[in-house]
Amino acid sequence: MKMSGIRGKSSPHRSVLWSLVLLIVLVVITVFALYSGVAGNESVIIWNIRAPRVATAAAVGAGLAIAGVLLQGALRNPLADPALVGVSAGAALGAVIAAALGISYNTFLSACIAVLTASIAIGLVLWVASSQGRIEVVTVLLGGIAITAFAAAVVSVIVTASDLAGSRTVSFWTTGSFALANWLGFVSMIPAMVLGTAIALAIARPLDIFALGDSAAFASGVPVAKIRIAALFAAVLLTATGVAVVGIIAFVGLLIPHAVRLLIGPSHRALIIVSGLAGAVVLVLADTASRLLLSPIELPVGAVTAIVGAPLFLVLVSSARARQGGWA
Amino acid sequence: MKVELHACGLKSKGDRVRLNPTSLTLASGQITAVIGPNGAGKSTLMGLISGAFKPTHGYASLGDHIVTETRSQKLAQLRAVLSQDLAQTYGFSVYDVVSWARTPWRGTEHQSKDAQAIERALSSVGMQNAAERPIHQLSGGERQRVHLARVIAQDSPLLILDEPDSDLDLVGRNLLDSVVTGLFGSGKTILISSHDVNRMSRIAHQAVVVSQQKLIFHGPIQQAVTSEVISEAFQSKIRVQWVGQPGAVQEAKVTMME
Repeated sequence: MKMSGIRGKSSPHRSVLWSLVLLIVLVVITVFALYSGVAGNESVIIWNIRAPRVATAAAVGAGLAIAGVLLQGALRNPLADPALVGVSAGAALGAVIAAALGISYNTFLSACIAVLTASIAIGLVLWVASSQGRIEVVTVLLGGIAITAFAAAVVSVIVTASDLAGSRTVSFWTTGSFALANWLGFVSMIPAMVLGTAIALAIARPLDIFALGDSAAFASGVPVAKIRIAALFAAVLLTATGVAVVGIIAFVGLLIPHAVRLLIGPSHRALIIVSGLAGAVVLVLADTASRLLLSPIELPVGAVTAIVGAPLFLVLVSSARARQGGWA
Repeated sequence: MKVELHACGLKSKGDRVRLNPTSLTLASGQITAVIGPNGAGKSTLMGLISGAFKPTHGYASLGDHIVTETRSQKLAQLRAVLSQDLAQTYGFSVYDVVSWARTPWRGTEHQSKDAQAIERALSSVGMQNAAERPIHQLSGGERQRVHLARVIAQDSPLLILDEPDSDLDLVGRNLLDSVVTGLFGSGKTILISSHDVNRMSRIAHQAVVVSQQKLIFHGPIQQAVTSEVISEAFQSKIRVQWVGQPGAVQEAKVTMME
């Protein structure tokens, strides 16, 4: 093929490089996490306790980060995150309701119900936030606050009132923890994670074109409504099944896509892959830190991510405000 | 390709009429200017043809295809749109943005022409040396040229350009006019709206004049841009004089009267 006279296509080299770097880092911290802890390094502890925990943290981190990419792209909203738009709380509510109905945690059925309730949650938020075909940035977040408050309240009522909700406390759901992760839970979320990632990669290019705005994307041949629904459903799959196992971990889905965009640019295919890896690295790191920092006391992992994430969220709000000049 | 409105109209919520039912057939392979005051229904008329709006009355058709019943990819093979409501785009290069116009041709034999179409489009608006620049670093006028290139690269038989000159300076407008004339030369049907009636009278062959949500005139530009029609459209006393020799480029001079 003849070389193009005009160059300017985004170079894939940076994203390949960053993928390799993140993969190496992930391997290193995984090995470190597997061999450190209060208990000894017997193979039972490593393979039945630490390994499923590390695997779960990696999968949940990747899922949240990719879900963040999808929500930010599909809603053209720089402040979108699964926990901020109500998806995570909706999922937690589903898992708790399922438990109250006698469906064990960390099972595929529990994951399915979490997907269902999370879908309802995002559906409600978007129904509130869209007006004449436009989905407004701030209304999405306000709707997310309301849905989250409602779902969290029902979760706390069920957890408090019912023995069936089991050992998982209110704070387990609101700050998240990998302490109850096991291989069963890991397996329960894998189908949704794989499907969600596959959908994400399949719609990566149309999501790029979303940057033009709905009407110009449509004029360029993108079926805007279909792609948006596919993106939101994939985000729900990637978030809800993780939440059902480990509770709500905020800010990962918000901040990782922004950080990765700074490194490799806004093109969605690369953004999905590199953000997924970065999300895995960050949550394995955060979980290992939460286990070891004040060992033998274990910190809630969601608290660790929020302490780092919330201040960065403020910075983002301020820069988004400056850039867009006000919320429409 | 025959471009038609069949008693096509739009009422928005609350029964506010945005365009009364309108029937027209665009002159194929010609430049048609859409002329009228602010809020007259120009963008609505163009949006009904492009499929941006669903009509509440009648329908629009492009060739054998009814616009609202055509899949978005097929529709984009038939018409390209430059609209006024573009979102700000960050981080993507000029080349990336123009390449998005090739979406409708994915999986078709025309996909092989992607690079060529993008290069030609960039050159035609004089942005061939800016291909690698991030789009958010460009000026408003440069961005408008990139989006014009994007619409050209889509390579559809119909181009719908809604006020493509709004952010352009004098030089940019001249460039736009020669680009549009060049597209006409390559056989495209072009629908273009602008507030600059003088310029439209120079480049367009036909005119669609809308006023107060109604089509008030459709026909050759020389018959549309007259004191009577323009005065009626803008609800003001306006004098139109055509200057230039017959056979050469003619142009209307439009002036407001006291």
